[in-house]
Amino acid sequence: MLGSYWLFIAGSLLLLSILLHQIPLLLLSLLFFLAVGAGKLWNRYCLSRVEYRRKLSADHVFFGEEVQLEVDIANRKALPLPWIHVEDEMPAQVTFLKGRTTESHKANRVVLNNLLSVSWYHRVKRRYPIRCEHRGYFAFGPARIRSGDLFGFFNKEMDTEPVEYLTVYPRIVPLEKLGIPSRQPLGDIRTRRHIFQDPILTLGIREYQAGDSLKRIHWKSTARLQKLQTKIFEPTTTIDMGVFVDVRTVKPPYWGSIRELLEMVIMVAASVANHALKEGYPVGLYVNQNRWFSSEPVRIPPSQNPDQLRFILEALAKLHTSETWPIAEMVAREAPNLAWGSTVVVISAMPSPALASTLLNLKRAGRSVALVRVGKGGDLLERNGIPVYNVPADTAWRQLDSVALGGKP
Amino acid sequence: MTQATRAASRDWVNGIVAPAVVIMMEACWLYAWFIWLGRWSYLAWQRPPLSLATVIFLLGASFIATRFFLGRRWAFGKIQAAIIGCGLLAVIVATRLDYGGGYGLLSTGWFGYAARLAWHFFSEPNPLVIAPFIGVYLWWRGIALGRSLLSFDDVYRSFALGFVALIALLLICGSGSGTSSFQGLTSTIGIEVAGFFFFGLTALALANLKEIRERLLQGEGVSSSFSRRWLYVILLVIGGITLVGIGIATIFSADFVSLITKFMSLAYQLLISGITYIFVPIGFIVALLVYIARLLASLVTRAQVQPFSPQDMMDPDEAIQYIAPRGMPAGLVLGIKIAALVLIIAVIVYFLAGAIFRMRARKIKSDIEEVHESLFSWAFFKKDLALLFGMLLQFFRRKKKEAGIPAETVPEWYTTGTVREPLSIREMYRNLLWTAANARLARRDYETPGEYARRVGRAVPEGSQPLHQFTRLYLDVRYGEIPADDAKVQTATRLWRELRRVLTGSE
Repeated sequence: MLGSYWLFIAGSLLLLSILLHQIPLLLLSLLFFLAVGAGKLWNRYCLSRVEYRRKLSADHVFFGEEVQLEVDIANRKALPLPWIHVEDEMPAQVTFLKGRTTESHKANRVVLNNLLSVSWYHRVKRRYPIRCEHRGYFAFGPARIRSGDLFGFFNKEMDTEPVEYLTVYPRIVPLEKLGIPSRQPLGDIRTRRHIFQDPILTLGIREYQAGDSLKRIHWKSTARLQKLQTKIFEPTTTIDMGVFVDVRTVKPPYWGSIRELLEMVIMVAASVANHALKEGYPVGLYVNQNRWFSSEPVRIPPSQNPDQLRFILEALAKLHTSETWPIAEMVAREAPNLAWGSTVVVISAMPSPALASTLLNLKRAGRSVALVRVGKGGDLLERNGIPVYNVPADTAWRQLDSVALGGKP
Repeated sequence: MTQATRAASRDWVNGIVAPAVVIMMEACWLYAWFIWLGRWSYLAWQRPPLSLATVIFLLGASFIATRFFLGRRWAFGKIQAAIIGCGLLAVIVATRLDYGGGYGLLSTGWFGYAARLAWHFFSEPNPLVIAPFIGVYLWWRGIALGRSLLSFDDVYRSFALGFVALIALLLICGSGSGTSSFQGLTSTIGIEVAGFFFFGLTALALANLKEIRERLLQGEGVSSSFSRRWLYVILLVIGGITLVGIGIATIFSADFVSLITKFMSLAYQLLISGITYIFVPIGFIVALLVYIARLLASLVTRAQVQPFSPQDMMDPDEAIQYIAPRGMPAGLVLGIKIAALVLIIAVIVYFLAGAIFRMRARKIKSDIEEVHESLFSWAFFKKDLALLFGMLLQFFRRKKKEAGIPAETVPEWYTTGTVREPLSIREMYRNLLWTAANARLARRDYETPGEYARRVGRAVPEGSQPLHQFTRLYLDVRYGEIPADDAKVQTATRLWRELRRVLTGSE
């Protein structure tokens, strides 16, 4: 506010006081110089050795859970800060149970304001309970810190770049009813037709029969028994499941998204994956959109890894509304990579004839396919012989206790 | 009234302290002018037209009345009438209190005395005649303050106005200091100057606080300890600045002792005036109550009651004596005293309890968990002190060193082309720039040494490597302030010679 003229004003007054032999004028110039000088010095050093940190009590939470955000402001110097204002960017999707946020000029962002007075060598921590009522991957920060002199003549600000991330998994509800073919996942996993064998798991040995591959001969036993012995492998019983999620929620060629419908689709996908993994199936996830900051699509191959559910939920948490490819194209490209006997489960709110055609081709090629249609959008595919399960979307997905997969296989 | 307004009204720092310091700031610079007016030889008043306490009273009363009436849902005309009416009453009371003239507090004779003085004003000017006009001006200033929100801009404007007014006054005093009437005036005004700065800076700081708070979510997100801590820091820093300023100024003044004594006597005067303003009305009310009690008692006893005639209570000693009129039973006096004491205690307890309840309610409402932790340790503090002194020492050393360096002159090689070795690395770099400029490779204003080295390196590839090495050495010395040892100077000299050879094309 005073700019750089203050020194000139103080100097002029000092000169005048000397010329006029005026002690009060000298006092006036001194007080002016001291006040503005103190303000200037204060402003220069106010943000030195000021630390700002934020910490979340958890970085991965389930939908509806609460976490605690702790902001920590430390002043590690002898100069007290009469005021320090921290504007911290927060996601608009989380609910602050205490404290209030203001609007931000950025979309889906709010600003958490903290105005404090921090004395010398002092630290202040403020804790905000937060409820996570939206699925997503949220960034907390960056923050802008502002402080200045006592009198409001000068102020200074700095930005702190570090950002904390919070992943809120989608909601998981129990599947109320399942009706997908018994040979395939989501039903009975026991199969009598041991088509595949696992070469790692040796069940035993038997005498060689004509037609046995030489690769299967157990040479040590052959040498011991002086007869050709063939290894018998354990049949594999793991049948993979590929969950394909279609993020399109409006009818082509229109663009846009119905947020609630997409959330329902994601919730159904998470619930299906959770159920299948609990039942012991290796489950994979494929989404017709790219990963964040990547040109690669969301693709998690089927696995029984104990962390597989976490991987799937994390991927689902990060989904946004934009479709990168049509789901039909995605299914056609990814399904051949799945093991034989795998089931392709497509969850879509807007199934298209192209998707029906792709699923039909897979079915003809011997794959098991199923479509979970969320809502009433898209075209009906039952006439093609593809099992379709309908999940009504007329109720608010937040209030659902379970998902009913209705319809005939 | 919104929640924010209610919260603001509960905030004693913004509600009481901030307006009080603004009023004190105004009073300080205005009173300085009144002192000057009182010393005018033409008027021969020998006193300011109004005392400092009266100035504060009028500004304060005007401020409070304006805020009070503006808060009512009255018609605008009614508000105006109420403020003006209160103003007239306050001006008369203030003038009456300032100029007793030996008359009783309610003596109507005082008005005749005032009228006589007004009649003879041109032949015998008396400050009593001017005082009501000044009182009206002060009331108007108070209204202006009461109407404003006391935002930072408002306070800054008032501060700037007072600052300029004080400078103008001091310049006028300085130019007329030779006249006898202004002898000792400058040292008298010194206190007002210091007071103006103390209250002005405090007012600015509090307005700044208020503005920052209001910019936020109507008090949400503001730490509970914010106002309290802020106020302590403000008082400490501004008090320190004022004391240091006074200390330095008085070193140059022969009136050092008188200034301090004046300050002490001013504080005493303010205290006494405050007591007077508080106790005189209380004494009057008590005397009136006693009179009513005696009047009621006389209805039963049919005793003769003396008419109610309060004496002049301008002298605090007399006023305090008057609270216990002669002839009253000692028991009754004691009873009245106890009752008054109980009443005062009850009022204080009532206000304190209210404040505590409000504070608790606010705490429950905000309830954001806040943890304060001290990071202080003597080791840190000592390290910081050492760092500070080290920086100061380095600063003065650098200044001394820079002072020892003779003013930069045009190098000899610039005019004659002759280079007298040895040169420092910076001199060599300067020479290199000159040589390159002659080879049409002058450094551009916006180029850093690194950028310049890259450009020259592209233009003269055989000089690229040595130029980069030489630039690194120069950057260390120039910006890194790393002293160059002999080995580095030798390397730089070798590179410089090589570069000169490349740039000039000489063997």
